[in-house]
Amino acid sequence: MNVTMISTSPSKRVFYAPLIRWEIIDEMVFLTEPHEHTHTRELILRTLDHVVMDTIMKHLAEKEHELFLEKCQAEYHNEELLDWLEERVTEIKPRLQDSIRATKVEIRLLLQD
Amino acid sequence: MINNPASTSTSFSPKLSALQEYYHQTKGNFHKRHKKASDWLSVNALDLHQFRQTSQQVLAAASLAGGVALNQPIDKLAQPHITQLQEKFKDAVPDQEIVEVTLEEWKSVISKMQGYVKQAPGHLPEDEEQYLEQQLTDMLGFEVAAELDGIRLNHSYGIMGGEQHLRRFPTDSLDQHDAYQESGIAPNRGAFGWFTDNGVLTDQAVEREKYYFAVQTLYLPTWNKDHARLKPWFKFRKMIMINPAEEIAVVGVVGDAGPALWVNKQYGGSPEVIREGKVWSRESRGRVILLFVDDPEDKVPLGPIDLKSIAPYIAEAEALPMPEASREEQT
Repeated sequence: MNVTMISTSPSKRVFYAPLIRWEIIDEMVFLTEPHEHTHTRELILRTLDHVVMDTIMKHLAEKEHELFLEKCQAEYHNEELLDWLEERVTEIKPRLQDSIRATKVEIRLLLQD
Repeated sequence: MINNPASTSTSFSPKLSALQEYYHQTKGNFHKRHKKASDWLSVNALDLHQFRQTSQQVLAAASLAGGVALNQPIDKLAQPHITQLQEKFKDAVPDQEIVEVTLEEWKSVISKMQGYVKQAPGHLPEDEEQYLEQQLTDMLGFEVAAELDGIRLNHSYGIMGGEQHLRRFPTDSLDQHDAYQESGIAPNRGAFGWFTDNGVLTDQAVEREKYYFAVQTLYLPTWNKDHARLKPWFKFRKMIMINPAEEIAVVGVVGDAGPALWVNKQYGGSPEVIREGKVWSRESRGRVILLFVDDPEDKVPLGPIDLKSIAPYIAEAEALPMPEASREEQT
């Protein structure tokens, strides 16, 4: 099998990675059957991508939306995007953490028996 | 790898279908609430999750072009530890590094560890534990500890039994493991799940199964009330097994839970750990020390370390002239 060592999980290469407790995501993935883990993880991440962007767009001035999207397109992995946001939106990190936390609670409810 | 997990599929379980529905709702809400952003994505023929994928491609390209070590080849991982350790001591030239452990201390530590493992399984007294942690950290060049993040096993030293190979992914079989097939393969997956990373058998996953430990997480006093936090913490947690009788250590990861109490052993080791660590030699009889490796950047490779071959390098480094700065410090 042709394999490549992945030193850092690719799913963690998002600018909001420091706001996520990744072990909680792992825990949620474990709530599904082993053969569904990959799908589950990807769906959770895609959901978080949308929730994070939704929160940012709610609080960031509309004139800067396009610029932010361009930045995301160029370097979605760059955690400095959070600093850029912090300069423009008061308490964006706690706001994002709240949204992420609420989403994880809802997802956990869906996946629990 | 998956192509499009968000596409409709009738083969999903109810849980996954519910998650998929939830994702579509979240996505729909985003596009309804943020029309301009939605239009921008549409014009650029993008979906939000593609930012993540594009970013990964950019990083991969940067890695290839600039030598950024995002994807390390397995050869690098498989480099024997001893090379690193030899370099550490060999390079202890006067103006660069100071030898942190003398040969005498080294021999003394080995001798003490040989004594510890002959006792009933348990923990060392606090002062001896701290001394051992410090000495091993200095000798090996990476942090080792009996307790990490406030978590410790029920035993820092005890008896290690031999385990079978573990299935790394659902269709894995014994003939796909490259060594020690006579050990067999466990019928169920390990307690911490498959070794694959997002469904891909990476070189890291292969190494982890080769050098895995089974530890008695189920018997931790806080396991029942705190397993939601402890389980992910222990999953693939890096540890070092030291076999003092043979002066061999093996760095591995926690890959399974066990053994059961009635087995009268405190740890389990993969076929590679047991063989390459000489855990059941005439002198060792399974008696080992097992400590955590504090390696947040994942720099310490998995595999065996020949502790005997460190000594000559300590001696060689000791014989080097003392660095100017150190001489001044000592006067």
